[in-house]
Amino acid sequence: MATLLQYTCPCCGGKVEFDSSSQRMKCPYCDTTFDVSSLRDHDDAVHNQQTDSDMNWQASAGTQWQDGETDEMRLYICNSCGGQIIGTRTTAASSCPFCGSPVIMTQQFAGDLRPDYVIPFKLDKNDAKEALKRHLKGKRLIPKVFKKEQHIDEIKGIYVPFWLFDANVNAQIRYKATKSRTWSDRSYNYTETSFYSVVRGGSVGFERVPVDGSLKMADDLMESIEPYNYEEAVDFQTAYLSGYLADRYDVTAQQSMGRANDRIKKSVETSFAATIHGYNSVIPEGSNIQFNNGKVKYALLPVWILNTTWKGNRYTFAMNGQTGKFVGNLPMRKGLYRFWYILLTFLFGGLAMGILINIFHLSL
Amino acid sequence: MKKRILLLLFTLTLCFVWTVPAFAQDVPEDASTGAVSEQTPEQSSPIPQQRLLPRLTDQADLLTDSEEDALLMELNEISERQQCDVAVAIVNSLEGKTATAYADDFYDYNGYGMGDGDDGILLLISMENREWAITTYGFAITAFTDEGQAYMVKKFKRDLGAGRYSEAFEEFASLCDKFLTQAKSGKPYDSSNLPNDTVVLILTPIVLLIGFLFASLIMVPIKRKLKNVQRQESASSYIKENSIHITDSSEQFLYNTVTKTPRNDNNSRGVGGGYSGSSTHVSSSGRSHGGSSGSF
Repeated sequence: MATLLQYTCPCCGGKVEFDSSSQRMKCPYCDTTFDVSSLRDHDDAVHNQQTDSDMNWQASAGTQWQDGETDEMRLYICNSCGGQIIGTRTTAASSCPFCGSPVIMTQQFAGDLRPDYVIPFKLDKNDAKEALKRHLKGKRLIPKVFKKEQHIDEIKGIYVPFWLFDANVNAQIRYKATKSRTWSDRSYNYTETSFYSVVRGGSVGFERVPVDGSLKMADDLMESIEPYNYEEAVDFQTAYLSGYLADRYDVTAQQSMGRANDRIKKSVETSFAATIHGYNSVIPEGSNIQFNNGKVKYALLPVWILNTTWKGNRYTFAMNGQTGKFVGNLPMRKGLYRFWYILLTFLFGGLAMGILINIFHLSL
Repeated sequence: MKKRILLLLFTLTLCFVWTVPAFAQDVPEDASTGAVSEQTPEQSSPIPQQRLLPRLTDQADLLTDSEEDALLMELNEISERQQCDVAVAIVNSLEGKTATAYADDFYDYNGYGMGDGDDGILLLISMENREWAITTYGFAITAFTDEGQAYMVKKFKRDLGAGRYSEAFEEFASLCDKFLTQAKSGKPYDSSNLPNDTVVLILTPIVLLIGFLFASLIMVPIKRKLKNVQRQESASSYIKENSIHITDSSEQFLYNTVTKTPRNDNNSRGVGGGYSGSSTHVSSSGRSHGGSSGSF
C-alpha cells in the first residue's frame, strides 16, 4: 500500500489515496476515482518517460575550404546594415540585397565552413519578377510603390545558408485523450467525459529538416518558402556562385538545433497522434525522444529576395529559387481599407434593413 | 469628405429600402377648401346621406393655400384608398359645446363617413380654447382604440402646440393610414401592439452588425491575403517515406467526469399584454361614437 499512496492524480496532480469503501483509488482533492491497476499503469508510463530525451546532433556540418578555392570569392560588407554577402570576383554586389544601400565594402573572403550541398538556381530573374507581379495582382489595398517596375527590377538572387538536420527518431509519446457523450432527462443535460491515457511508441526518420543560418533572413520568411526538393541538391562547387550572391551564415549549427528539435518533436507528436482513433480530443502530455544518428549538413539554398521600405518599415518578398513558391507580407493602406469596410457595412446593413422590413412588414 | 460620401450612400440605400407608396391616385374633389360654407351643425337637422364638406375644413385659416391643397389631397387619397373618411376640421369656436360633442355633431350632421357603416375619423381643432377632439365612427371605432388614439395624439400634439399645424395634420393623416391598414389585418393597434418606435433603435445596431459581418466576409480575406508569411511549426514534410513505425501502443481508461446543466424551460413564459379596445359614447344624434379629446 505504501507505494500506492505515492500516486499522483492524472486529473489534478494531487496525491491519490486508497478508498477502502469503494475499493478504488480516490483523489481527495478532486474526488475522482480510479481503478487501482489503471492508475498503476498510467504511473508507470509517466515514470518511464522521465528519462531525459536525447536530442543531440553530431555537429559535423560543412567542411574546410581547400587551398585556393576561395581566391575568387569576395566578401561584401554593407556599411549601412552590416549585412555580409559572399560573391565571386565577377559578381560585383552593387547594392546590399538586404537594405538596398549602395555603399558596399569589398574584402577577400576567408574562413568559415565550406557548404556540403548547394541547390542551384532553377528559376531566373524574369521568373521571379513574374511571380512578384502575380503576387501583387488583384491586391488593391497595397501602396503603389510596391508595383513600380523599376523597383520590381531590383529583385536579387541570393544563396541562403541553411543547416540541414537528418535523424532517425525513436520516440514514446503519452497523450491524454477524451471521449464524451451527452444525454438528457427531464430537467438536466448530462455530459460524461472519459479520460484515457494513450501511449504510442515507435520510430520516425527525418531527412534534411532545414533551419536558416542567417540572421538577416527572417526565420518565418524562410520557413514559408519551404520545402526544397533535395533530390536536386548537388555537392558544392564555387562555380555555382557565379552570377549570384551568397549570404554568409551568422547563426551556427549549434544555435540552430533548438529550432530543428522543436519542429521534429512537434512532427512526431502529430504523426503518432494520427494513429490514435476514436477519441474526441488527443493532447500530447509527455514525450521521450531519442535521436539515432543525428547529423547536420551545411547547404546553400537559392532564394530570390526583394526589399521594399514603406513608411519606415521593411517588407521582404522571397521566392524559392527552385520551386517558385513566393511569399511576402504586404502592407495595407489602412485608410482605404477602413473606407471600404465602412462603406460595405452600411450597404449590407441597408440591404438587411430592407429585407427585414419586407419580410416582417415592420412599420417604422 | 469620405464621411460625407458614406452618409450620402447610406441615405440613398435607405431611400431604396423604405419605399413609400406614391400618391398616384387622383381623387375627384369638387369642393374647394378655400370656400368653406359656414355651416354649423344643428341638432334638429337629419343626418345627410352625402358628405357636405370637404375632408379638410379650415375656418381659422391656420394653413396656407398650398398647405391646404397638399393636405386635402393626402386626406382624399387615404380616405378613398382605405374606404374610410379621414378628415380634419379647424373651427374658431365650439359654440358652448364640449369638444367631443362638437366633433361628434360636426361629423354626423355634415354627413362624414364612407360606405354602409359611415366609417370615418375626424380630428377637430378649436382655436377658441386650443382644444382638440377626435371622433370615430363605424369601422374607425374598431381601428382607432383608446390606446391607439392616445399614441397618435402623442405623436402630433407637440407640432400642434408649437403651431406647426401643417406638420401635425400630415402626421395625423399618415398615422390614420397606418392604423387603418393595421386594423384591416384584424389586429388594430392597441395597448399590446402599438407601433414601437424602439424598433428602429433596436434594429439599427442589429442591421449594422449584419452589415459588418457581410462586409467582413469580403474585407477580411482581402486583408488576410496580404499576409502569407508564417512559421512552420512541424517538420512533417521532411519525414522519410514509410519511416513511421509504431512499435508500442496502449490505451488505458483513467477516469470520467459527469457534468449536468439544467435544461432551459421555455414553457413557463406567460402571455402578457392585452387589448383594451375602444370606448364609445352616444352623440346628440343618437349614434354611438368613439373618440378622445384634450387641449394643446
